[in-house]
Amino acid sequence: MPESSDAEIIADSVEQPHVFTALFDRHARGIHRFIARRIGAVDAHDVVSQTFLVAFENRERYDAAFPSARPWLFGIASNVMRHHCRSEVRAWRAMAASGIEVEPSFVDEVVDRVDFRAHGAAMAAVLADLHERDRDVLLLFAWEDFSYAEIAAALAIPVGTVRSRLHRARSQLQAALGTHVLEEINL
Amino acid sequence: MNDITLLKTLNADVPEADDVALRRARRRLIEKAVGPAVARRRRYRRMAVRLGGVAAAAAVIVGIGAARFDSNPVGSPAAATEVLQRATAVASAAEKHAYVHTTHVVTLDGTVLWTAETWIPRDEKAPWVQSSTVPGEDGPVTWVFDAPQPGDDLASVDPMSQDGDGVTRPSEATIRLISPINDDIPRGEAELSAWLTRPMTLGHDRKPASTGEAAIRRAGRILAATLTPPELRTRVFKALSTIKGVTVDEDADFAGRPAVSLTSGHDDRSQLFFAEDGTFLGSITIGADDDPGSTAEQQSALTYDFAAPPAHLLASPTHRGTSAVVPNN
Repeated sequence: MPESSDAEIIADSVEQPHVFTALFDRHARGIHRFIARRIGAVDAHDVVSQTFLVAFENRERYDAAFPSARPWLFGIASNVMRHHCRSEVRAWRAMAASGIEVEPSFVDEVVDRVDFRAHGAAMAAVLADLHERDRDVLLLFAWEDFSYAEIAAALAIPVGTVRSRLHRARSQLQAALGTHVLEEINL
Repeated sequence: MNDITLLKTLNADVPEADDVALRRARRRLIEKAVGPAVARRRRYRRMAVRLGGVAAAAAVIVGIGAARFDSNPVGSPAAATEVLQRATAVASAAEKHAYVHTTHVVTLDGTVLWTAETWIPRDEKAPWVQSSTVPGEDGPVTWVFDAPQPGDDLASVDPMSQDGDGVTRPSEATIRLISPINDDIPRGEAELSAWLTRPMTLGHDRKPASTGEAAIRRAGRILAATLTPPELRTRVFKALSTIKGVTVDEDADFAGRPAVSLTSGHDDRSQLFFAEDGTFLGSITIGADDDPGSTAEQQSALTYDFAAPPAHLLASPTHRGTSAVVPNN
């Protein structure tokens, strides 16, 4: 028997509320990871908990046209994170100041030729300075591989707005990293 | 995409979510999920009552999850005592009839696992009859077996073996539970009360259950067993009425049927349900367990009447047995 879609689970949960936990089992860890990368693992647990409570309260308004609830849940998580915006900015500034290394496994041998510590600091500084709306778009795009349409659904904004916010955020990121660096590592 | 690929590496080594913290979050969700459902059903029930009492029509309850997680239980121990006195009277009255006929349905998360009709004779020497159905199998299986005797291998099925983890799973042992002559169940009222309230822990964190909670859970399992005889029911109801910490909700709802529920506090996961005349309707145990996929909402619904078994079942059962241990079909 094929696994129920998120939309089917949400629909079932209207009459059988406890089945909503299946959604938690599917997505809680992914949402935690996304949030933890922004504000730290400890606070991320609170955001995850609050996200699913809010989602449960609003389940009857879920648009069943979306089989996957990932955009919906990440959108709620992003809204819940608003309360942690200052914490996030502080975290990015601290990272920018300390130059914490980024994960090198993604870049194979290139790691030997590039100072990723400096790049991590540069990216953190950009993220700290970005407007939170632009930061949400950028990170959903980069970390979660959301399409423009999915980001639009998650944040309840038009696709055109997604494009403009992403363009603005990436421009700042590229400027901070420097074109020569990106060409050098040829990523 | 260069900048994006580089950005993907940022904080990519963040620690995985902590299992304990996730379980806590999941539990909060479960507790939120269960409460509002009952609130909705209550609205339906009130509407049904206004329309002519349709809600009272269900005699066999199948596949409905219902439970309360109110933060403030209503009622009082005194009211609970009254409910239990009515239940005791009903159970005692059953002794006057030749048979107690029960219909028992066990569901897990809304799926029917097992149904059984059982005719328990008052005559200790008369045969017992049970017709059980497991969905997906070939029709009902009817057994006629001799009355259970002391020494039958009944005590080996420990009805309390699953107390510790906070989730009642309808294992074969639970379904096959027959407790009428279980030597572990004391006969004296005081001893039975002590037996029902002995220490119990719940959940992964092994939280001690309150006295009332332990009593409700244990009593629920005995009462929900199809073959529990009226005499034992009477004793359990009497014992419960002496235990402090049991409260009552007179406006409860058991799968759409107006009911009185007994619980033991705001953090309870178990309830007993009675019709307003004191007939025991069933029990619900919710496993607010934390492991993904393991949340279990078990409902055991029992209805009583005093009909005799149909003659054709006695004449030509599927099987005959020499013990009232429910066979493993």
